[in-house]
Amino acid sequence: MSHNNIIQALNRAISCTPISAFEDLSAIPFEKMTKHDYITRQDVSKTKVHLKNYSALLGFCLLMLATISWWYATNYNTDSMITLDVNPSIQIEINQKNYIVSVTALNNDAKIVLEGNHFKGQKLEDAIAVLLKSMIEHNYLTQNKKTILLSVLNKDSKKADTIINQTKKSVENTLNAQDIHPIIMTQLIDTSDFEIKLAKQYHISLGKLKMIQSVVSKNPQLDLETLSRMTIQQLYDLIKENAIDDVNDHTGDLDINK
Amino acid sequence: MKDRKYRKINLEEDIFVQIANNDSKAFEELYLSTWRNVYAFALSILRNHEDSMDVLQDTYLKIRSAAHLYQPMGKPMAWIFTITRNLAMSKLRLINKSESALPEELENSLSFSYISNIDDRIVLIAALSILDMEEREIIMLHAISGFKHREIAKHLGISLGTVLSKYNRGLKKLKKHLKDQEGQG
Repeated sequence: MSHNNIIQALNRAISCTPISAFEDLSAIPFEKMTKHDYITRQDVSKTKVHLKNYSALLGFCLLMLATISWWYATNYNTDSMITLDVNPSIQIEINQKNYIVSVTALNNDAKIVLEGNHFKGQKLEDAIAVLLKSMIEHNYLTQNKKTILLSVLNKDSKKADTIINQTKKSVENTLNAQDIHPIIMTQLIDTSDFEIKLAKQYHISLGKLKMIQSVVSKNPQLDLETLSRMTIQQLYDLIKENAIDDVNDHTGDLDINK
Repeated sequence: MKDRKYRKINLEEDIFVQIANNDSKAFEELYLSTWRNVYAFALSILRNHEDSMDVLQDTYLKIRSAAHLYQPMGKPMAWIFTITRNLAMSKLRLINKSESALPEELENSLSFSYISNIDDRIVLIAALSILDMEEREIIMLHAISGFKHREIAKHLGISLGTVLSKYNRGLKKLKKHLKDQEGQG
């Protein structure tokens, strides 16, 4: 007997079974169950429930990942870069909420100013106040030496503008409280790899480099190396002495405010 | 091949919705199209006609009582077999019948005397006598209910390889047993 014959024989044997008439079955009284018992529970649903659980878990993980990424981007990624130049040249990086991500000394004078201070996680305006007070303490800012260059780099020019105005106000408030009435030059900057290298080479900030490039473009007899050694006060005086009233061509947005 | 034309059941899941709404025609349709499969599956577990008939009846009563609770999963027969299996296992525990029942008990039983074709009766009794429970379930589900091996594996919670090997081994055992019986006859 072949396998197929066995199967057919089983089929025929089962088909011979004398079953109850449907009428007899349907006449048996029954009660609707309120919930599944161990007999009727749908085992297959376990898989689906598990899949649902896994889907929910996956969704939760993705949400967590997105939240962590957003949180990280908001708190730890640099959104804007500010350079504060007096003679100390300081680079400040802030996150989207204007909290400090890092503060870097770009020259030896800046190292003195930063010494003993920790800025990470502080509000920008608080950090600015601490930096300026340290500059006053170390005589980089006095009633006579009071010229400051503020530069802001942000892809969003509107945001850059807001940051520069807020920072300028913080600087004014802090220094006015110390009876110093500063001259603040502000500029919005962009950058290139070449300029970053150049600024590093001369130990100056990108903001100061941009300013010097503006001056040199109007006065070809001046050179970057000489100007890079000058303080912001000296550069400001140079601009005034040489009547370089239009240094904005190169930087695009240098604003001098007495 | 004539006998195998009714193996596959095309059951729509919304039949349970109709049954839940006391549609007796839908209930009758379900009963008439599936009783063979339910009975065969119960028999593969219980190996006794009367007990399997009890389970058959109880299965449809349970379906009627719980149809409104059925959640569509795309496999309405799987739910019916789950109920049948749970009822059959429950009965098995109750009557305390073990796998070790002697083949002679079945062969001498009058339970299957309703099967007029002696060869068919011999094959069924042989299947119930010499195959283990998993082999019987697999062969019955595949041969009579039309479940694919993959579906059987899923339903019984065993691997596809086990299903295939038990199916083939079961049929070979059956073939050899029937051949030996013929030789003795």
